Parts: sequence; C-alpha cells; structure tokens
Amino acid sequence: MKSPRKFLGFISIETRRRRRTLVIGYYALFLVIMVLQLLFSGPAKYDRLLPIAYLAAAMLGGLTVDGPVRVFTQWQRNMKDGSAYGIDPVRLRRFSSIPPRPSGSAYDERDIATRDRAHYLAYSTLRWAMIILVLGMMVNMDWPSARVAQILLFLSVPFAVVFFSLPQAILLWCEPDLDPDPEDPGTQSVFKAIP
Amino acid sequence: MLSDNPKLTRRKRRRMILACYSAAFLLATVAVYLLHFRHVSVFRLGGYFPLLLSFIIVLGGLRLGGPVRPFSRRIGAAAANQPLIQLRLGSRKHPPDETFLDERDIAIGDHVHCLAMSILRCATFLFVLALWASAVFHHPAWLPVVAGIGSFLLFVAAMSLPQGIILRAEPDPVPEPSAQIAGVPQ
Repeated sequence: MKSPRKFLGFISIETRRRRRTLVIGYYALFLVIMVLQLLFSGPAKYDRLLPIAYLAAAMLGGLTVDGPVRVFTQWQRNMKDGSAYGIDPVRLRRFSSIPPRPSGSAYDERDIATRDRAHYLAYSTLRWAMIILVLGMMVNMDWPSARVAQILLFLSVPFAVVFFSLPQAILLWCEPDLDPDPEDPGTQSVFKAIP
Repeated sequence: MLSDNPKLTRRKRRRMILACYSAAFLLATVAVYLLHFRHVSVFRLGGYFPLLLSFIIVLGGLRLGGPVRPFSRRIGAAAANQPLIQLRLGSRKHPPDETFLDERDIAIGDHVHCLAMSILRCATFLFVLALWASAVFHHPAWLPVVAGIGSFLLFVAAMSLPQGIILRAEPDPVPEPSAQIAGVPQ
C-alpha cells in the first residue's frame, strides 16, 4: 500500500521508523495547533481548522494521489490516469513530464486486503469512540442548544483530524520495511560442483 | 457473513434494512420538528439513543445472535471457548459455525468496512463543511438543529452501515444438491 514517494515532496519515508515518526508528528502537530489556536485566537476562529484537517489528511495520501499512501479507490486512479474519460494512460504519460510510478498499477490481492484491514481497524476504533462520546454527552442532557453547538464544533476538529487520517496512519504505521532486492545474477559469484 | 437462517431471504433482509433506515429518518424528522418548532433542547431527545442502540443490536455484527455474524474474531473465539455446561440464564449456546469466521468472511467484513468508511467519509466531509460554513456565517439559529440532526444520522450510519451493506448485498445461499450418488437408483 505504501507508495515509494516522499511526504510533501522532500521528507523521505522509506524506512519504518521514519513513517512512524511522520504519524506521531502529524497528530502532535495538530494537537499543538489546536492548543495554540485556542490559547491565542480563542474559539472564534477555531472552525478554520476543519478544512485544514481534511487537506492535511489528503497530504498523507489515500484520499488523493499525491501522498505516501496510494489512493484507495479505483475510480480515483482512473480519473488520475485519464482512463475514466476514455484516454489511454500510456498516451497521457507520453505528454506528461512526471515519470510513471511503478506502484501506479491496480491493487493486487495483498494491497486490497491490507487496505480493507486498515479501514476495519480504523472503523472499529472510531465506532467505539463515537459511542463513548454520545454516552458521555447523554449524561448532560440539560445543556442549552447553543452550548451543545459549541461543544459539537469543538469536538468536530479532533474527530475530523482522526477520521480523515486514521486508515492512512495505520497503513504507514504497520507497513514493514521492504527487503532489498537480491543482487543482479550477473554479479553473483557462482560455485560449480565439480564431480 | 450471514448467520444460518434460511427464512431470512435477500428480499426480507432488504426490507428489514429499509424499515430500519426509514425509522431512523422518521425519528430525525420528529427531532427536527421538536427542535425547530417546539424549541426542545437537543439532548432532551436523549431517549432516542437507547432506541437506536436497540435496532443496531437487532442487525447484529457487533454481537452474537443477529442476522450478521460478529465482525470481531474475539467475540467468536470467546463464544467458541465457552464451557460445555451452562446455567442457561437467558443466553443460548451458539453453534461453532455461527461464531467461526473463515478467510472469505474476514475479507468480506473488512471490505464492507472499507466501503462504509468511504461513504461516511463523504458524509462527514459534507457535515464538516456545513458546520464550517455555518460557523463562518456567525452561528445562525438553525446551527444547533443541523448539528444535532447531523450527529444523530452520522451516529446511526456509523453503527449500522457495514451490517446494512452486508444484509443488502449478500446473495441468498444456493441450496446444496440432494445427497444422491450417481448411478445408484433412488
């Protein structure tokens, strides 16, 4: 599922340690931004973080083509390479300055299983988080509507951050490092068994 | 992924899903009326949530006994390892074929969650966009209503969408051919 590209074009995420650092840094950065926003600007401009949450999740990939995680759905890939519009992807690449990516092909069985498993884990986690959230809010049923709207708006930012990025984060966190390819057979030493 | 219940045909399952989501939309409509015209507080409608949980439990997926087998392998394993002698205080012993998930079941369960998350991602994006737009427009009077109803419907969808997809899409099992040996007269 991992695409062999860089995050934001310059951060290399080839090793597992770097990918995990990226995931931790991503959530830590959002936590810091939320705290700073509340401290210095107050809740008035807090809602500006909502579109940023979606855009930042898109930078991780999965939702868009430009990210370290390959895009999740086939129709997005078809739109990207032009086959959704009846354009031959090979002809399109001929006019494009971007070299074709080796991982741009369709998913194989392992990719689909990994993607689906990541979504299952993310969904299960968010479902229980949502149940706890709703049950927690049910305890305080006497709140006025304005306060409820404020709390929903306040909680919507961390929820959006996690919801839009959790499958990508799971994939980045769990993807193992690839073993290096074996050497070229021409350079390998050959031992012949002499009878 | 479905439990063995020959009476629950695909048509019945689709009707069940339609009834559940119709009920949810009806509840949401009543909630809009109460909130917008009767000015009832959002969380005065807290009685909705046990009702919702009951119909989510009816669909299965999260627990044993529903038409959809539980997605979690831990639930199945715990049920398979239950003691042979039970007090039978209300709970029935589930047969192993109802608790065991093979590779196909796990793949279907995962894929259905992927589909459900894609649908919910679009819905949540629109909901977040509406929240953001309403916040930009200086918190209009309808914001609590929209936020409450949107959260309500998202909650319903998040709890029941994978089960709903399975109940809608899973084909009826093909009946096994009668046990007859070729060449042997009946």
